[in-house]
Amino acid sequence: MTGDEREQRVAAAAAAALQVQGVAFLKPGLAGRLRASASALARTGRGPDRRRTDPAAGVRVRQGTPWTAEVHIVLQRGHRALDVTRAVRSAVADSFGETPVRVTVTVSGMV
Amino acid sequence: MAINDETRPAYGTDGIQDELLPQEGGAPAGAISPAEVPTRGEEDAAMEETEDEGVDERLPCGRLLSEVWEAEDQGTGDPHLYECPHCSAARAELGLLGDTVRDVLASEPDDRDGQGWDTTALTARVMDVVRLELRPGRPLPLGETSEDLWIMEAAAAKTVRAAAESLAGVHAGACRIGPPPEQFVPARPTEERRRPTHVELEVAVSDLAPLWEVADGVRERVRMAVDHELGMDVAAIDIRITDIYADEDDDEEIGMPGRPGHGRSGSGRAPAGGWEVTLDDR
Repeated sequence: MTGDEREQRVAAAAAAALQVQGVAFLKPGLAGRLRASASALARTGRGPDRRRTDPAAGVRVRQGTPWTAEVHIVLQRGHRALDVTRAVRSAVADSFGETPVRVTVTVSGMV
Repeated sequence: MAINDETRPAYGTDGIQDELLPQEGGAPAGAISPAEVPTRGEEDAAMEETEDEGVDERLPCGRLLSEVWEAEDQGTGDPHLYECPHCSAARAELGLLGDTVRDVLASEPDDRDGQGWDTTALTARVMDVVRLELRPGRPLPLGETSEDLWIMEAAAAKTVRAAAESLAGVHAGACRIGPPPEQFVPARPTEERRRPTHVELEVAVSDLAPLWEVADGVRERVRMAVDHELGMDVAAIDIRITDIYADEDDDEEIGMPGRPGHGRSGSGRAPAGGWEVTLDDR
């Protein structure tokens, strides 16, 4: 596996997860969360600055038999966690095409 | 229903609540005696160990995020930091964070008296983020065993507390969600962790309704929220009433239920020595 291949898998999985209704965004890293929080404060009333948020921050992919994909999502309130995680699991698995993959989905927060 | 004469600090993994509560020797004292729950101390120790290991993020290349940031700050010139895509991304993220801090410092103060930034709000927001990041609690199972779907305890606890507070006069406190305490075994395998969970919620309630009625109402709201909003399988919901406060229109002191004469002050706090009422869902 080259780095490019893995990066492509990560990007595809992240895009698939973000398409699911109820996913607010993928869990950013600590720096991203601090940055978004500080930016929101500086830009009063305009909400978190997501322009700089890495869209694939909450996705980790490892090659193996099968491949594994860990997806950490932040849930949008009003959507049922179980239903959303199931949909994300299905979408991420589909993003791997014919390649067998074990998908783990975790709700890390809610907004 | 059990009425205990001592109040113990919460042992739950609600990060914000726990942070504010005193703990001695790393293991909180408890109203539940050690004989009743012999594994609680072991549980806390195991959780602390797990959390210590889990505080730092390990990048896919094997480096710890803190090591990468430290090396970047010190300018060690380690070639790996520049060649590795993961370390490069972490360095770039740190750079963006630094940019944001500089942007904030360079922008105009938000107050009108020219005294500069009021850092209180910023500090509070940053600490909220850090607490949630560092104390997310346990992963709790969603769905079937084969599905590998989880929700972090802190996220689930938000839903539980919000459900409780949807009842008038109820203020939710510490919330622990996990396996039944008496069954907790450190380093449980994944399959073991997928058993139905057990909710323990502390609440302060107004004196306007009977305790059992409030507890039943809270339990029902929590059960509905856990089912409808989370879809999590819950075995039991225990409500612990840790405080009864007087409604603003009611100036009379309140006696403890079943304990005539054991009144409390008008401040609405529990008397010295504390008390609590536990209404178990068993």
